[in-house]
Amino acid sequence: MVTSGKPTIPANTIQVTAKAAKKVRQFAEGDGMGSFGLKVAVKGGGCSGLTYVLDIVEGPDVDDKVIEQNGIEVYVPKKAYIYLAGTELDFSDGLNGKGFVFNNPNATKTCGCGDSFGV
Amino acid sequence: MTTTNPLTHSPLRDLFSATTSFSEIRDRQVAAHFGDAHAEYEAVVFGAAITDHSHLGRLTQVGPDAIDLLHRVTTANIEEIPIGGSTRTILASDRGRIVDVFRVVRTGEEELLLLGSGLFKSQLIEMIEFYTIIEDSTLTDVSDSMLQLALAGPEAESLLASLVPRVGELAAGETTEIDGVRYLKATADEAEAFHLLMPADGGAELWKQLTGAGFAPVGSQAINRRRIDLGFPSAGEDYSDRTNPLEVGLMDLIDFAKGCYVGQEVVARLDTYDKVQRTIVRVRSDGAIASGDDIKLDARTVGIVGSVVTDADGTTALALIRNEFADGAIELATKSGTLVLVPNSVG
Repeated sequence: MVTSGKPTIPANTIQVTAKAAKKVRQFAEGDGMGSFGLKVAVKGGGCSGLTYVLDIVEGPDVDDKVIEQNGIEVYVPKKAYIYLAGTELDFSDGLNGKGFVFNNPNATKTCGCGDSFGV
Repeated sequence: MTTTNPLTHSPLRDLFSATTSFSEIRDRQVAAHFGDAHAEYEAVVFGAAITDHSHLGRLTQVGPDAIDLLHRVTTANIEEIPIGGSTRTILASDRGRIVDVFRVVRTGEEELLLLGSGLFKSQLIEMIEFYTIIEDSTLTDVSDSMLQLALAGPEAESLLASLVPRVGELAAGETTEIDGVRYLKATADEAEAFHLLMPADGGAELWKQLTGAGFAPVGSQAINRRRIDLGFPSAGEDYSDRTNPLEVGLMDLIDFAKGCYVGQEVVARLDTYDKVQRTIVRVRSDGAIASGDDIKLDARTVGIVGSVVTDADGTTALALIRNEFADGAIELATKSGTLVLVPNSVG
């Protein structure tokens, strides 16, 4: 997972690109999940202080904001949303692929491993 | 987070005699000495002493995610602390600078007690709360409701064990709770021998019992002097948010194998590429040096004075010195006089 601070989309939403959505769908179907959504969150920790959380889940939690993007539902905990608003989630594949990539305009620094960012 | 207004004096203050000299530490008034600072120092070095640590910071962190959260943001391996065990750790900034150094005691399956410097308590609270986003974990300031005493000296353990036999079985860092008092055996990187934690209203009775059994009451001066003897850095004087853990001898509080924590990339780089510029040393001076004084080689600043203690023989201090001068081969000075470095005395 790699991050960059490139602002690409309106600041009031989170965008999942078609390529990322397709990859999420492949993972979910591979696990035999009928209904699913993508949980996107942030937790404390990592070199720069905050770490992205990605998980494929069956449904949203009570406090989740639900956004539909490219045919999949994205669930974002309201407390994590302020760190993610305006973020684009992409997928980078191929031999030099980086996996899921967060383009987060809120990130003022990211660490070398790419999993962690600061605001 | 719940918090209460800080006390202006120790809950034990009414016990202390008219000969007691008080000083302000953080936002509290604590006993500096009880009338004979030299005898108190002797008790700390050769006997069994008891002191009031109510001015330090005490927090609880409770919840299913409490351990995982502290493991992810601090330098030590918090996940491996058994119930009743403890470890010292560092919360650093993302630039690898120290926010606070504190001990984490695992008091239950999902319950932690954090024993910090007190000086940086508000920063510690602020940072932990900042990192508590989706986690189910509640931080509470219990500094006023929980009292902290400390025992020191080579005779402290045997004397305590004669009163409370179970403490004699504790390994360093382990705790046991007996009749509402948690006994924590200190580790080798502390000037104290035991930390005692209890509800604030129970402290006076325990103080009377222990002093009656032979523990000599000592003030903060004696403990501080012993800490400087041993080369252990103190919050504010020796480290702060301008200091990285490696330069002040806190390497042992960092688990280099655990993976990421806040500031890990910077700390690992400093260590891997040997980029630490300064080291902490013990110095002596005939002059009246003070914490914060610049240390000079001619006109060039090559260090800064940290903790200071003055006795009949002069002044002893900890100091952060640029590595190339830490062997003591070149004479350094402050505005108050020359310094004699004690090489390899710390860290």
